Amino acid sequence: MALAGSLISLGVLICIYGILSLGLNLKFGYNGLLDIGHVAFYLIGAYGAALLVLPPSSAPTQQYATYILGLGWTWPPAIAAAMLVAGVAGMLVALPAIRLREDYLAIAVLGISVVAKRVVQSESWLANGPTSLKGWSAPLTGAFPMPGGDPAVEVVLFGVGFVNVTLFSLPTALVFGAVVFVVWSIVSYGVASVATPATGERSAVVADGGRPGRLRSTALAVSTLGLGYAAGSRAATRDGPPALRPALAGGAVAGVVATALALVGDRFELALGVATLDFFQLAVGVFLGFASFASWVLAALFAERHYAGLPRRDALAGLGMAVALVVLLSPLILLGGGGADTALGVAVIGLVGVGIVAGVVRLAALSTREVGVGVGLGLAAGVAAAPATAVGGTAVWAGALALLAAVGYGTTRLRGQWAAYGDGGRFTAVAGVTVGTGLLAVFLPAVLLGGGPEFLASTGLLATLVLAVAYVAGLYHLGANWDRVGAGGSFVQTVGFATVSLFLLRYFLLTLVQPLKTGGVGAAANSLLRNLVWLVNVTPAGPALNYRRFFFLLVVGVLALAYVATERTVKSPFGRVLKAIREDEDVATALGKNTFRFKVQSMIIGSALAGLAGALAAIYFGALVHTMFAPRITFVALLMVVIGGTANNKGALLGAVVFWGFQTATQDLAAFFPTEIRAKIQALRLAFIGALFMLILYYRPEGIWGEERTTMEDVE
Amino acid sequence: MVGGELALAAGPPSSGLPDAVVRGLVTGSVVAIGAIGLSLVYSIAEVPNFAHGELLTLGAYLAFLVNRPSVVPLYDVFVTGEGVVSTAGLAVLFALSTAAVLGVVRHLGGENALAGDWWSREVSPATGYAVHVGLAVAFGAVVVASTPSVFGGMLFSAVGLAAVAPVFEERVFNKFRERGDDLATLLIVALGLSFVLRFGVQAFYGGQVRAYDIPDVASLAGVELPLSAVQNVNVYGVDGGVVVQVVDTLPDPAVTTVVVGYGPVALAALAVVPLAAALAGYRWRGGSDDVFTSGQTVGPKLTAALAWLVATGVLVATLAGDATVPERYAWGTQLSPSVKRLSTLVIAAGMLTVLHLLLNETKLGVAMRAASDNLDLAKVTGINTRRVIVAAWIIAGLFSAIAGVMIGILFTSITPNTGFFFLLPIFGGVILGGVDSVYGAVLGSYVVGLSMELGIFFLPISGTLRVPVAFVVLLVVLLVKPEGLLGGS
Repeated sequence: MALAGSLISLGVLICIYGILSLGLNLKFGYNGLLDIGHVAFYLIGAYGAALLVLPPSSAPTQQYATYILGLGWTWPPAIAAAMLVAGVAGMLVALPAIRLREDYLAIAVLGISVVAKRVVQSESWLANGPTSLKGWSAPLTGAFPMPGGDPAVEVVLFGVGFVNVTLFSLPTALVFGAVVFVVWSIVSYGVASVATPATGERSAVVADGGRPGRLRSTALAVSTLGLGYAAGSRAATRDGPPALRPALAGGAVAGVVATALALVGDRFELALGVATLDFFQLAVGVFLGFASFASWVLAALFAERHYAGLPRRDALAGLGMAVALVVLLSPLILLGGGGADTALGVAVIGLVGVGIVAGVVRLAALSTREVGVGVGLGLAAGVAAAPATAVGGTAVWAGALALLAAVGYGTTRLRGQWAAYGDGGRFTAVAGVTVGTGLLAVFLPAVLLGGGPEFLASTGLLATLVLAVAYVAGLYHLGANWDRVGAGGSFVQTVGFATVSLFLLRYFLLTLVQPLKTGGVGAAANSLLRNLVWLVNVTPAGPALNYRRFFFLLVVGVLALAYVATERTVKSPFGRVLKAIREDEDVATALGKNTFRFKVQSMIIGSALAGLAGALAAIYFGALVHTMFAPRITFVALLMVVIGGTANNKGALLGAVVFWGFQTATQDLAAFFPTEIRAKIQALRLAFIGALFMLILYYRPEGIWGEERTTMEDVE
Repeated sequence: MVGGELALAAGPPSSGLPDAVVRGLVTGSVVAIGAIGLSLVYSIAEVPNFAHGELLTLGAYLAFLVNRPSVVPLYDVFVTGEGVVSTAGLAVLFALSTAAVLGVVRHLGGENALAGDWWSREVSPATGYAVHVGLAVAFGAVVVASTPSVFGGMLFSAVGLAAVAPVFEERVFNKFRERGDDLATLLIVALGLSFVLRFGVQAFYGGQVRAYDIPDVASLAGVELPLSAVQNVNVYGVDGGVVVQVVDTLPDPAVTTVVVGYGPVALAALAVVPLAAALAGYRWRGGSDDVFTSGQTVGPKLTAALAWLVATGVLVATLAGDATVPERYAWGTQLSPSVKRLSTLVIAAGMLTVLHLLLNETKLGVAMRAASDNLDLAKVTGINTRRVIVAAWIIAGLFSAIAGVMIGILFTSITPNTGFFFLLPIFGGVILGGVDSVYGAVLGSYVVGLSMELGIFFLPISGTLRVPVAFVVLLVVLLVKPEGLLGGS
């Protein structure tokens, strides 16, 4: 089972929301305007671009839809116009609203976003009303997949036989060249960044100045075909960000070479009259395949640098967190299907339970009495909960609740006693023993009395739920006591490391299980390869570049442009005035700045970015419905800004990665659960996002990366 | 109106502006009940509570425990038949109800509050405990006895949410306030809380559209009340007087229950006498210059309004004469209220009265008004501001639960988003009236409610745009008079 496709979809969402949150960051992070109606401009961008691109509603293909405009434009001018309209809308909203107090401003812009959504919903002449608006084709779809988008031509060989050959047309060649250019520019830039000693990043403590060693250099050179390595080395600077021009030059060389290979190769073969090798396939495979390898090497080097300051024990703890998350699913996965896995499942869960108990007892050096209390509580809770699970359905929940209540009551009573001699850790240890024993005890009746598969399945579900609650509680406890438990690294970094480990476990290891079961080692290797060369669509016919991957690379390119543009904006004198207004508007006014104009300008730029995100979303989703523009989108964008670090553009992107990573991971997690619980998990994860938001605001209001320090602060 | 035979219409009249006004008053009542809590929390606890809509949602869903237990996960194990709950289930309900009452009191200051130290007068702890426990038991009994009525659900949900809402204050907002965070941070925190609550509700109850189980006819103390059937009130204008006809649409065919007529003289009296009564009442209560010590609970404005209402009611009842439904009439209009809608007005009136008495007649209420003017000053003068803030949240929970259940009754569909849809009108009402004044919030809410219904009456737009109309009114007020209708400068 290859996950590369999901990774691509995830990447597209991250990029679109990254642009959206960059826009909000400019308004809220840098200028302090609490625009919780940001989604309105996203909506305007999406519908604006779509209405300009669509054919007239009188066209035969659109006979069931009514809408205005329908000018049949191409995408680039439509996107530009949509950005312009969103920007103008931002200005029109800002002119009256910006004079208001901040809470009034918030409700006013929230109101405007709700009004915009409702207008689209109710006015059917505008954009097809409550039903979805669709009917446009994404830009350049005709050229894909590559190869394969171009029609085959019949070629006469030596005047005798015919053969169908797909020849590479010039437009396709240009698109392909551009794709390779973008990918390899990024690769070269990445090489240059790795080769540059890190400055300013608080976490990077690298002994040898951050430059990769010999082995790492070799890996980089090989995976970037030497080309990216050479370009990256030229782009690397002694300190500060890498130079852009050499990186782009590297991309250009790769683009030209790849295109020439594909263009000339096939025609050369044709001239010779042989058609053994598809050079286009070769170009796709080599240039995108190696770019994929390079992406892993670069990611590994970045991760190595980022986590260099993390003590080994903390890193192990992070790995443990990741493994534990997989383990807590084991009862559900192993017992969910019933049948042959049952014995194995009970055995594994037994081991897990015993492991928890033994580990906790050993680590915390509990006394016999303490162990006795924990085991007793766990036995009681487990045995009490087990019969309830036999009924299934709601009773499972009732059983889980009873179990939790029993454990909760018992342990809170005990907590007072332990707190009396000041050791909260022992209390937690006993709670750990309780959970472990409970896990074992819940299966006792099943093992002793021989329950059926359904009984075991619902018990497995209960066990997973209890383990999940214990996991979250344990994580919270760890975070609260990290300064005592940890070995010196920060908790956020450890959790980051755990997340990376979890991704690797899921992406490379867990995907192997299914192919190994059904297709043996060959299938597993195939799956591994597909996941490794994630930029290439591996089809039975050979490597290809499909439209999804192309679109992903397109939005990556757009995001890179938007990022560079916003970074330039906020680093300019203009950006500094924005920050000054956020800190104290009166001071900025006293210094002779027309603060009103600056605020309106930041609203215009931020809204135009939201419009850009909307236009890209229109292309990606292929259909627009008013429900896609609910106020919660603004909330999500705000969350991204706050998670990564307010007034930090990199942070806004990190926020997008964290949010969509979490969404995708929980979606993936929910797929293991029975249907009726899946819907609940999907709602619960949004509730969890809200809770996480509040926790971050309380414990880490500056976000993960915090606000970037300005030059003045560095001087001090 | 141009006279002459040609202008005379026949048949039942169509509904017009008066009906839209009645609808506006009903919507305004719901918004007002919701807005009171937001306004108190805004002005006293200084939290711009964007999670207030979710309080309404929670309230609406809590009532299911009484009204439709079969849709409540976990609790549905006690359901034995159609809307019937086993004795164990009733015991759980009773326990929850009593716990809610005691929980509310406990929020006001822990064990001491249970002993009665929050009362306006000194009492012995035994009396305090006895009264509180007695109240709790009585309330539990009332809730259990009223199953599965939706109004029982309303009671349960009101007190239940009143016990829950202060938890948000203590566990969430107070932590940020103690750290000295600004208004914008509290606003974002409230957004986070709204996510937790809305999707928590969705995770627990599921995302389906639900509705209360409301019988067509309910019997209340032996009287049969057609709850959902519309009573058409047709008003005809003939010969300088009016004829009023009430048609009950529940039976098929509909039955005319009342026909009364008012002559020109009676109409003139109806116009003049209540106004005179109002004026007299205003002069009577407004006579004293010493406004700080006397006559504040029933002030001149309230007296005038009450006098007008009472006089109108008495005259409508006494001046009614016999009449027949005219075949042709100069003008006519139809009102279509139902018991459900009118009950909203009655409940709103009752709640507003209770709030008014609380704010003016109790020590706690006076402290709340002081705190809403200036929290720090109130603290300096020895007011227990923690208790005042918690009390604001208790009232917010109580009132928003009732508003939530009212929405459920009126619109017959409840989803996890129900409360959020009302957040905008409620905020509109609060800001419209001026953030610092509860009375302003009530006034603003009725303006918002009326403009929502009159907006879709006058403008050629669909009902989906109800909320936007309210919002446009708010925006105009924000731009012209940002401090609100009753706010100071």
